[in-house]
Amino acid sequence: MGKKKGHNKPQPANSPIAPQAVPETPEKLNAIAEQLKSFSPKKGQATPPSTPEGSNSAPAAALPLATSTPKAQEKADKRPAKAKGKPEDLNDGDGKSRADIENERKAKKLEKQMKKEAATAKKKADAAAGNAEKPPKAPAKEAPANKGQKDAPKTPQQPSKPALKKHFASSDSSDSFNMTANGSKNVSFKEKSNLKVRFDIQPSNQYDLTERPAIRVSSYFVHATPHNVHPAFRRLAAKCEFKKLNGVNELLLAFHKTLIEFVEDYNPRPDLPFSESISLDLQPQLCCLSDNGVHPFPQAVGNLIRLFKKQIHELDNTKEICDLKTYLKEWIENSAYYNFDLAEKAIVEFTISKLKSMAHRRILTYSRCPIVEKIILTAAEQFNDLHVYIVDDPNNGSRGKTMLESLSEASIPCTYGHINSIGYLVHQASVVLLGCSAILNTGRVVALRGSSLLALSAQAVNIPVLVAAKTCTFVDKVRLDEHLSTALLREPIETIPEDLVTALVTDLRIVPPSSAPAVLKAKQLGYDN
Amino acid sequence: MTDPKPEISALKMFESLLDKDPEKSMGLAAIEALLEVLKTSTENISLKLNSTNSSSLSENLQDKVTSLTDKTSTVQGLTKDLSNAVDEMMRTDRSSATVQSACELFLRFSSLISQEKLIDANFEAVKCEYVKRGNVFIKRIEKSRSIIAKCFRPFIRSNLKVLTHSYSKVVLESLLESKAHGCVFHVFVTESQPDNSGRRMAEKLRQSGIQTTLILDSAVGYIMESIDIVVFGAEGVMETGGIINKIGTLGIAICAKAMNKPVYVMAESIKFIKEYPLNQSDTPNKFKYRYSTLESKKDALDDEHPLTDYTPPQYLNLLITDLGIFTPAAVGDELIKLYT
Repeated sequence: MGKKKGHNKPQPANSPIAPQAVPETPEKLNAIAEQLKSFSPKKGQATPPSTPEGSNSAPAAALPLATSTPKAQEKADKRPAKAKGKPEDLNDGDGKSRADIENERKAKKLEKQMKKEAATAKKKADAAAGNAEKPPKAPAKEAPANKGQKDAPKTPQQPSKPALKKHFASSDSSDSFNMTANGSKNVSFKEKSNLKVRFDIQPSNQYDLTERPAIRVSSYFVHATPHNVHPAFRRLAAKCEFKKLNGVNELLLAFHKTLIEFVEDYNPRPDLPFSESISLDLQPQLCCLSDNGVHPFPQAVGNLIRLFKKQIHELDNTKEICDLKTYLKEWIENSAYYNFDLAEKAIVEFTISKLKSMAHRRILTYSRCPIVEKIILTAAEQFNDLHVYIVDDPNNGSRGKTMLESLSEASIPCTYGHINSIGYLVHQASVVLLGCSAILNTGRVVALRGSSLLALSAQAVNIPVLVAAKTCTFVDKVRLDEHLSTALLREPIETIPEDLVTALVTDLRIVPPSSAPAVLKAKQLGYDN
Repeated sequence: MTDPKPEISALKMFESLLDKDPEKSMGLAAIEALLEVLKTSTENISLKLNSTNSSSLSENLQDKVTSLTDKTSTVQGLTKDLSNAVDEMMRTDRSSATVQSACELFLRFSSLISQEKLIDANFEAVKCEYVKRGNVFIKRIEKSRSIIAKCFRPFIRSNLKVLTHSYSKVVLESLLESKAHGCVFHVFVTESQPDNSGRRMAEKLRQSGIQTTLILDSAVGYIMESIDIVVFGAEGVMETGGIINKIGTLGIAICAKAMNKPVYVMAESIKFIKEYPLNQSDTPNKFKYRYSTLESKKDALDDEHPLTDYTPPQYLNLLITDLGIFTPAAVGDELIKLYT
């Protein structure tokens, strides 16, 4: 009965749980009960964890599982057996042992106790309103990632946010975590706690690298029917869901392929001209991916879609259908070729020309951007004195490790550190190379969360910051709602102010960030075009 | 027919133009030299066609045929001649940044002939077009300094204290123009070692009755609190919006920024260079050192004192050019317009 990860919930008796839930094993339940026994809530300690625990006693009917859709079913099946403990998971449909029943009773007792604690703690918490830091639980072994922002009112803007990640950590567990408040779905949670807690952590706040991320149970496909959504799009969404596609680059490439498949298989409606019919039928596909426009597409993908629609619009309907299809497919392939093969080559060339004139080539980079990786690999062929410092974010998949592997295979000396070592690493480096997922009109760079820390530190030690940006990622927007998750890609992003960036290396030329509108104009990516 | 004229050395022409008129803009001299090269190569080709030298008749005919049929290659030959001339002029000990940018812009402008005119493809006509456009370009550039001076006038009020660095003809002309329109102001000029060019600037200013003080290079920090505006010329304006100017400019600009004094740069549009330096070490060596130094001490440049430095755009407030007044950020766009 060792401690298992992440399953610290008391088992609610007789909870009407949906049958598809992954069954818990008896050992886990015992473990949970044990942990609960040892939980000793202190007075005066606001016990946020207790509240979800308390709420769990309520039937998890509040928890939605989009169990109705076949896709969710697939996902549920694909989930690992050791899923993050959702209350509904806990119900073991199979026979319970006596020990289990005893445990259940004990658990219930404890819950009542905790409810009382919660009530008292609630008052104290309300009194101590200014306390932003979530107080640690008894053994404060929780991951720092768990300390989300507190005291913001529960987010009403996430009612449609389908995902429910309900985890909570027990006091003793050193590796469980994930306290994410959910939106309006869990009624009992709201009732129990007056603590307004908002956790601004978007993909699941994983500290453990080996576990698969929580499946985002979403209403992705609620409005899609098998008729009108091409399976290629669904596959794309599933890949994104399972983090097979990391980053905008891979997503864009995959999106190109998906579009080609779609056009290939498309049979136009007989009564409409081709362009109208295809644009009509493209709508539900995109709706299905973006949940009816609730989640905006990532910027670069949005660009692609807009240009694609423009192409469709300009189609000459008098031609043969197969001709039109070939034309569209060719256009998509060309776009992929220009924006990937050629653009990357150009960016690599420009960056290397800048690296050439440097005395010490010590590059600092963040997480993994495929273009930056290409740049470094090509540069290593030309220069011998390259040294790469990789800064990584352990909370977001540690993709820097993949980069580290591939660079080491090319025998490039590397140094790897987490984001908290940035202060040390930035003094060693001579240039910062970042990737990005979009560039806004003003020159602000949209990149993975954490990139701005590199830019800030670089400015403080006066080293240049280069951002590798493909022109297809330039958007005609002035600001982004960074906290809204985007469709398909759920990685957390942020914007880097333009005065922190020395140069944008695009496939057209090296450009200062303030010249972003010029690039937009050159590529006719503006909205009025 | 007369003998073919000897090839004009672009460098010699450039130097002679500057010697004749020391006040002439360096870029302008470079362009005029290039135009001469353009004209003389025209004459050479036409002479070739008509020559009845010792070459036999059949050879002459061959010449005619080749020069008539190889129309494309003669244009290429012309371009080659011109770029050779530019390379030659770059071997000057004067500011090579200015020469490079001026020549490149001149060549681009001249060869930007519309397609209709090229259809006739008579090489002579093409050459005439080039020369015509070259003249247009030169006329425009001749006026650039006075345009800049006019643009600068609203920035000067009476009783202003102006700080400037080293000897810049554009700044000189602008200040003289303001004085001529009745402004009374006080100019502080840095000595600007190693060549003491600030002294010349102070002399010229005093001659026209402007109150001038010559200060040490090291006294800039001391004097900055009493200064109202800082004005620089530029040897080259980069794609970043930063400038290359006499060594010491960066220090003054940083000091001005720290004390919140506005910094204005005056540069003609022919000084826009298509380079993107990230920092001092990233600026090309041909801008930092004289040609002779580069040749003689190729490998031991670490011991050489650079003659120019690069001032990044964040230290500059406005650039006043003959194309208008820009923020550093807008320079990149303008440059692209010029170079396409």
